[in-house]
Amino acid sequence: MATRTKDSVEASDPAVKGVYHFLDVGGLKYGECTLVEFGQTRILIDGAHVTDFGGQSGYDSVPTQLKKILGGAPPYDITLLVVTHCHADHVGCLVELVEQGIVRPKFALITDPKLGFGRTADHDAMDLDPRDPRVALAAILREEDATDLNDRDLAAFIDAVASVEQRYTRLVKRLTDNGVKVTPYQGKPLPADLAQAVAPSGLTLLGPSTDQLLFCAEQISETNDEANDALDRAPDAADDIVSLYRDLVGPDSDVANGRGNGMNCQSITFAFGPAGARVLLAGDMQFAEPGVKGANAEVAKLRAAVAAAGPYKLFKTTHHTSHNGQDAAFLDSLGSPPLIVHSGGLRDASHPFPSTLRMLKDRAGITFARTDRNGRITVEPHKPVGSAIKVSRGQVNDFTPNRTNDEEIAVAAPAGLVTATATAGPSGIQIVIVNLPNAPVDLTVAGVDIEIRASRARRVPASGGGGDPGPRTGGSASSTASGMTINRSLSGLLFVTDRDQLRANIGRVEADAALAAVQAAQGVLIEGPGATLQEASAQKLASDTGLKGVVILGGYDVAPSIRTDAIGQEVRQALGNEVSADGDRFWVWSDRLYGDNDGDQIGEIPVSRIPDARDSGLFQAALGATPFQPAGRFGVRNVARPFAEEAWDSVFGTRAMEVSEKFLDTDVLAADLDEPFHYFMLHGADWDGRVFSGEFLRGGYPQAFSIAKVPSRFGGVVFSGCCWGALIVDGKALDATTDAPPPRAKEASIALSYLNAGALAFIGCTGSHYSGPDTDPKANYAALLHRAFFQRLAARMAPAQALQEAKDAYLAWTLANRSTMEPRHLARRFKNATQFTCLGLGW
Amino acid sequence: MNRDDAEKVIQTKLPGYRLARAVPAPAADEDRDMKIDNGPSIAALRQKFLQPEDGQDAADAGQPDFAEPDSTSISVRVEPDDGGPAKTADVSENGEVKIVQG
Repeated sequence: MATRTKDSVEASDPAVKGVYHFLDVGGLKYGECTLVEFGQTRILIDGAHVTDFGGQSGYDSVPTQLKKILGGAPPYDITLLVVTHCHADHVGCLVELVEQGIVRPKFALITDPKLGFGRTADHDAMDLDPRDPRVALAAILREEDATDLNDRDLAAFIDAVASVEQRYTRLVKRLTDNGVKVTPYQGKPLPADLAQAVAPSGLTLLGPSTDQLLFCAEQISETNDEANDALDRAPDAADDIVSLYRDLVGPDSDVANGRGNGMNCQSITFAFGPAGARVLLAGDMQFAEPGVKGANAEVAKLRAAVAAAGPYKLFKTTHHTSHNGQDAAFLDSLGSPPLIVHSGGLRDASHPFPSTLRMLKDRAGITFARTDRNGRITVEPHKPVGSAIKVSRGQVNDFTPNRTNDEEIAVAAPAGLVTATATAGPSGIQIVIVNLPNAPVDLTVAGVDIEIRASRARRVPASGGGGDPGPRTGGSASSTASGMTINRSLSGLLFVTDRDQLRANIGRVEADAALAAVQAAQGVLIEGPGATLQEASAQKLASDTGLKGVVILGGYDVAPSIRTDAIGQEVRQALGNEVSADGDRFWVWSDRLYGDNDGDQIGEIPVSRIPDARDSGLFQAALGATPFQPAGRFGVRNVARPFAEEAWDSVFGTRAMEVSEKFLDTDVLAADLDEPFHYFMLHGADWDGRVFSGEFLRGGYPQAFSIAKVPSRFGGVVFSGCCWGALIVDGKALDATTDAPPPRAKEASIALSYLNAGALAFIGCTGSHYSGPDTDPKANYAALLHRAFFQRLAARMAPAQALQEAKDAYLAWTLANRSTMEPRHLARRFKNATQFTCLGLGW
Repeated sequence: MNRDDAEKVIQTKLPGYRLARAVPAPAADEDRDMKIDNGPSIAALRQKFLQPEDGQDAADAGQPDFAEPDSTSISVRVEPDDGGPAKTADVSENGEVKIVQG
């Protein structure tokens, strides 16, 4: 069964080339939301998680992502809204998107509610009460296996899915009330008006067939009955659905847990786009292992129909890259698509499934992007493979499996991985030998409960650059399973944080241990909700004049950085349209108001920030950094920035500065990096924090320093004049609409990698930097600022204080000479003074 | 000096580069759910950094806040012909082009 709306399209017409946006579904397990654009023809497929409407902590919400893609204010007109199947991570927040007018669809093609939930024709889902244990148990049994969640998360998951059927019914009613032409999919071809509306997209509806839908519905229906039977047998278990669920689907159950299969194999399957840029989107269809009684022959027909509609340039893996979704033979049948995309959340060790990842890795020539590591993914399949995919973070072709957040998700010990032997020792003491798996484990030995967790120094899997240096040595902190100790005084420093959010980011135990260590080292700690911290900090500074510095603990999602107009209204007005020549239109992230001790909106007290990057190891390494000891130096400058040589002379040490274009990343030696002071006067980019570039005088930018060169141990200070070198979130201040764009991982940032290595400070810019080719320090936009910092650092001033004083001196000079500067020159200096920030402890 | 003039200068004086698009305006501030710092005024900065210790008006109080804009030059964005990020540059009537970003 295939309904082809258009066989081929003219690839020369931009409106029919097709752009596919795979939205970031955050950290929660599973999830999928895809926007297909062919000019004004837009198809929105599925709605991620219900919590993605408001946004998971640290991730853009679905409305925010739609705004970034489509621009302007909602409502966003959608030609066709699709619900591929009825799992909660696909129905997601579609109800809210429609009810609150974020999207305005014209047509809807949705999984038939009765077939999708295995209900009889007379069933009314609006009568369902999500608090009814029978409803809740049936709902969780219809979902994927969730036994890997700990009890708390499982309870939350049950709460979330219990209402999905009722919410889905609400969605259908709202769509209908809004005048949307809703087609419950029952295996039939598209209605003619719908087919015509989506024709520009080249959409081909491939299935599943009516018979396949019915086989699946029968399996789903059996699940509903199973829930009722279980509660009939054990009515008292209604008070503890978590335990009952584990009994029903756990390893001791007689029934294999294949319940998710029924819904997955109802996934509405499409091909899009013109020949040469064909795309397959098939929800969670289990092409490789259907697992639905009686449905194998129908799935085989669907596979054949899918293959016939190819070959494909882009394939979104099905069922979150599970082994039952696809295999090598299936990919071969698709024509070996060179572009592969995975959708799913980060905290999911089994999706992408490790062996499926290996299978993909072994396929030559593919480009693989994944929402869990790459955020929002945009694919233009008509472009060459090397330039067809853009991602909002990380690197493509990351084939490493996820690990669960072991503070959040307790994984039962897999059979055969743990062995324990008890033998009698002297005095009757038992000696137990345990072979540990590479995963968190809860086990009982001789009646004693044992929890085994990974080292507290590591939480986030490391890959690529910014590699994991392993357990720290040196530094001023020591970390044990029971806590953290900072072996130096932090007296006179004000630490500000939101404990709850910091806990959420790096783990409760780690956050509490770090904050306790700060207080034990005589640091002053104030806590509160993130939005209150800047004012709380300023008030504390006003009342306690003994404080010499502020240290923000956590990323922007813990304590917001402030979107700041670096030039003020007068200069902005004088610049007029010339603001558009600045890469940020002079908006930058700034923490300066945390140091405003007199309410004049100018920071007086040095402010530094230790970002967490969702990585407790990085956080602890940066918090435990040692005071700076001036010794040697290492620096690289762009060939077109000779002014840096003059500033360089202010720095201790005798080593000459390297100059790129000649000096390249490949010329960096390990011995160079042993020096405790590094200076980079190179180019940087807002979308890629992993590379600093030099400059070819003939045009173009050679790679002069990359994240792979960041040393694994570094106890010093870095000063970077590179554009956006200290940007620690995936978003410029210019474009931000919320306080906290998603944080960058250390693998995506040279600055964060230095902190991970133990740097005391990484001084850099949150926006584009100004300097210029002039060597006259009064004509160059950066020379006086850089030199002022270097001089103070050489005088053994702490880097946070050195930066504050250097900026003050630079501003004072600028203001004293303002009458000779035209607005653009003033604006560039104001911007530099505002955007330079101190990452790391800084003291 | 306008963008057309700048484009001609770049073609002749900055081989390997071309004029790039200006940075578009972002969403209106009212669409943002966040705190915004509109920056201090020059008067506030003068008060902070140039005020004499006796608390009297700054000695340079009579100075203009900035010089008149130079109409013989323009700020634009340029990018390499072979691809790569755009950068801010100043282009002057006298044919001088300076990449000042970075």
